[in-house]
Amino acid sequence: MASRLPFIVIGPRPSLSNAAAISLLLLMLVMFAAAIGCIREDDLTLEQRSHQLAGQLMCPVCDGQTIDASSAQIAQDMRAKVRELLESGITNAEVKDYFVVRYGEEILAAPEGGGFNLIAWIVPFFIAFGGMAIALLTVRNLKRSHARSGGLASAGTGSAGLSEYLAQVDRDLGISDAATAGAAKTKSPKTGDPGPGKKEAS
Amino acid sequence: MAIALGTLLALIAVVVVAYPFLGSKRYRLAPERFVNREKLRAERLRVYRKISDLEADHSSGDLTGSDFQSQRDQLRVTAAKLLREESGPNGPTNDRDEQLEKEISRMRERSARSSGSRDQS
Amino acid sequence: MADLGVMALLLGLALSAYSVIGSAIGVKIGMPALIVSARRALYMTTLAAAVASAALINAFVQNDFSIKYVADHSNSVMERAFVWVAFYSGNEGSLLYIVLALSIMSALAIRFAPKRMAPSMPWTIAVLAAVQLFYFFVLSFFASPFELLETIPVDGRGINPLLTHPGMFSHPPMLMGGLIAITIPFAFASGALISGNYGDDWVDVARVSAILSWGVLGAGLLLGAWWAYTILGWGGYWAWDPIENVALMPWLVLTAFIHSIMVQKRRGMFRMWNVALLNIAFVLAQLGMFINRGGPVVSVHSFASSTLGVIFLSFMLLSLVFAFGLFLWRMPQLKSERAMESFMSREASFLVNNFLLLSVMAVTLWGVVFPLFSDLARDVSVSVSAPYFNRANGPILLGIVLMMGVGPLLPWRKSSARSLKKWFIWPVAIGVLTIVVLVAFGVKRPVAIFSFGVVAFVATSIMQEWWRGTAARHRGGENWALAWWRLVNGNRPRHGGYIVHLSILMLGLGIIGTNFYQQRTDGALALGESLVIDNYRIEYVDNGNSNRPDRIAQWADLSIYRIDTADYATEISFARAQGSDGFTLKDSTPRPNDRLIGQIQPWHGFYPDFNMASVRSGIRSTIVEDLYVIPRDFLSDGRVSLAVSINPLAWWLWASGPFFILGTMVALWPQPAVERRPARSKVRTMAVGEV
Repeated sequence: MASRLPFIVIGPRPSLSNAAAISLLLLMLVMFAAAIGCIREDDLTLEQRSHQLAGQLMCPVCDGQTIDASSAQIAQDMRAKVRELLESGITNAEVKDYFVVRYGEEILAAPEGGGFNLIAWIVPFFIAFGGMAIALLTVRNLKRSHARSGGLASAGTGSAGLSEYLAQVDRDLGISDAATAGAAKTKSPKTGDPGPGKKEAS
Repeated sequence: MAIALGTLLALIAVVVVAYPFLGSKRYRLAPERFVNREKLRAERLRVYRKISDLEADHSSGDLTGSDFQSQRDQLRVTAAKLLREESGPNGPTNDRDEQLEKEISRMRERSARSSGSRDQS
Repeated sequence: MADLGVMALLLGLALSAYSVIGSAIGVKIGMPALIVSARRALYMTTLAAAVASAALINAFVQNDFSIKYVADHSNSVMERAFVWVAFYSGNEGSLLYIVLALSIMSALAIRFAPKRMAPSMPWTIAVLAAVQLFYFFVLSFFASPFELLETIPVDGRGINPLLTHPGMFSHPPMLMGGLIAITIPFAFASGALISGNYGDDWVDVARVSAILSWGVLGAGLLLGAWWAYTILGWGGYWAWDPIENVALMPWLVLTAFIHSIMVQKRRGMFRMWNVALLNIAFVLAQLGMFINRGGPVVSVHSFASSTLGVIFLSFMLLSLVFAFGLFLWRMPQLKSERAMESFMSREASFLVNNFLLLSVMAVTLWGVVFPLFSDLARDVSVSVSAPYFNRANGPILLGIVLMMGVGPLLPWRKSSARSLKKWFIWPVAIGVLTIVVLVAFGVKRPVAIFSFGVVAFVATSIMQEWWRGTAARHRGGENWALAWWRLVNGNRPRHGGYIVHLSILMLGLGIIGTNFYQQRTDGALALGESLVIDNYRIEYVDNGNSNRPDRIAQWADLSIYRIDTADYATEISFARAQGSDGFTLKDSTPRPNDRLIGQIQPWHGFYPDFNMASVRSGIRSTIVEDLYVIPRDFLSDGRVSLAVSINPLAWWLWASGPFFILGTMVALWPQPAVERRPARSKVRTMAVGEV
């Protein structure tokens, strides 16, 4: 009886899906890279640039705030200085250098430049791509172990004499549709038998 | 005043915590059979939940007919096996359950009586 | 009352220590009475924590300034309602609050845990008690809120002015409560592992308690962002401040957990992974406690730095060793029931989402510790703040949003190419269409346009899910509303999740809008002058003050006009030439097309005792954009210095809140029983039988 249950349905492996997924992913990455590549500094007004810069400089006396967010006097003075420097026509990088020389590297809201500070930026790449790689490898390994075990064959064994219990399960769940071929076949002849559930009334 | 309140608090805590050792009420570990049966039942209900999730997926068009059939049949068999295990070797009756329930209610009665008698004393 | 508080804390310490030891020994030697006694001891710690808290609150109410904590955090003019805030406004009080919250949650958790958990409960209790033990220990010996002053001051110092706002009644307690609540699912998982009950019995309780903690933490974070934006006038809502980050990190890990636990529930997979996630979340919560209290990083939120740092660091390391030692010890038993069948399956997409969430967590952690690292390695101080996190986390966060749209479209196990095509076509089409339309309308900022496309893709995919399920049920003869209702009720975790996803999309809209399209200008206005930005004119009409002995406070009455930029063409082109986005007008006579659209009253206060300024921003909010005004300062020449910004789509940030809470509640709502058996007369036994 158990052998009639269609336990394992492993269809032809959809070869297209992986390719489709990977190309979708690639497409998105390309679009993303293109999008990032399009950011230009020079379409910003002077005021926008000065706010942008203010958001990249820390306020030296306030804990963890940029001069853009802070209302402290020194932050106001520094904002004015940023504007003044920009009006003199220098680049964002030069403005930052101006402050780094006076206040030290700590003034930058994000570590910049090569050398040691590069580590700050490289690690996230490793984390993100390493994380994705681990995830994908895990899926692949899990898939492999699936292929080795030959799917889920275990359910088929030892199911002799289960019919009464199956009938009870169906009653418990209200599964009655005769259309479910597998279920109909496994129904035992003595369906009318009062199962365990009915005894509770006493 | 504060010290008195604090002492009272400590006393309450000590009494509550020490109570299991003091009363005539006897404690025993929940019978393993009972715990096992509860676990099997919970496991079976989890399988039922999976089946009903499958049905929801099927009725909302998430699953194709044949996938639904095969997955559900797998789960039905799992549930049936659990049910068989739950009912013990004597077939699909709840004799053992009832025995257990009787035994437990007898014990409850006894403990209720004993605690009652302690209250009277 | 201080004596009562001290005694209650010591009692709590003794009870929790007894509970740990009693539970462990009781199980080892098989002594049920001891196990029951240890459990009762854990109930009693709730009483001890409650009495200690009541003693402290009473001291605040009585203005008992002989207690140092009370003298430091309140004064006699403080409104009585703020006693609740003052209670947790400092280091010691917040620790007391945490132990109170933890003990209440522990008591509820062990009271309502299912009976079948009995074999692992003593260990769960031991873990809960051990965490409480730590907090009672710190409170008793290192950070007692009941420390007395030698000379009693006439009046207290007063409450920190930044905290005197109704938002403070809920934001800090939610964050601290949410963080410490992670202990509950962690204790259930640990209990199951120690006792060797590897089955899925702990999964349901852990899921429910994890979602509760996650929901409270998430709502607390959102509330904090709202509060920073609307009230504090910080100009932003999320500054990637270390304290915000340490609350965000466990939330991210819990987000991963509540997704992957569904895979365990449904497919019996990811068993090890789920335990590991809870361990990480718990350790990160302890890291949060550490950084919050005398941690080594600079923050806007810092509680007065304290020597507690070392103690909290030790506890964090201890929990790290415990959690992962336990995990490694039991790892061989945590096998998956099933194997993965395809990349294109929901379980695979959950795994990818998990790794993305953990990546954000790891990058954030890296950003938090990098300054320390730099200090140690080359003795140069650096700052790691918003610009870093935005750039490093932004792309990963976008990837997570993308996965929110992909996951629901993939069926469990595996999918066929045909179904993929069928279900992806509409969402992808709408996403691409959105991008095309935005580009066609000349919207700038490609990254933002792409992000809008992703949001549209995900929104369509969720809508399609609902449409598909509802339509299938409708064909079965149910009317539309009923069909949708039954669909949601049929699988509440899933559809509650979709509602939360929608709220995340709203949040995403707000984040994209405010980050990429914000317009800003600064200016100082005398009475009667105006500031013009984009098509708004802001006129300084009047001012007033509400000074108190402890504060100097002023506000500005500002009228907002919508203008036709053609009326101001000369001024605008002049300002443009200067490189400015806004400009001030001496003469505020309305021009032909000016239209009054609202009035705001930004407020600025200064507290000399604390040398601290507190600001209430003025906001005119619509679903399209907010006009946002921060009064920087009232200058001595009578002018007011304003920072004005237009924050597009900011409204959506806060609209997401109700949906987040609603979705969480739907996902948590107990599912109706699936078993259609006549209800049996249930046997009621205690876990360890008080039979």
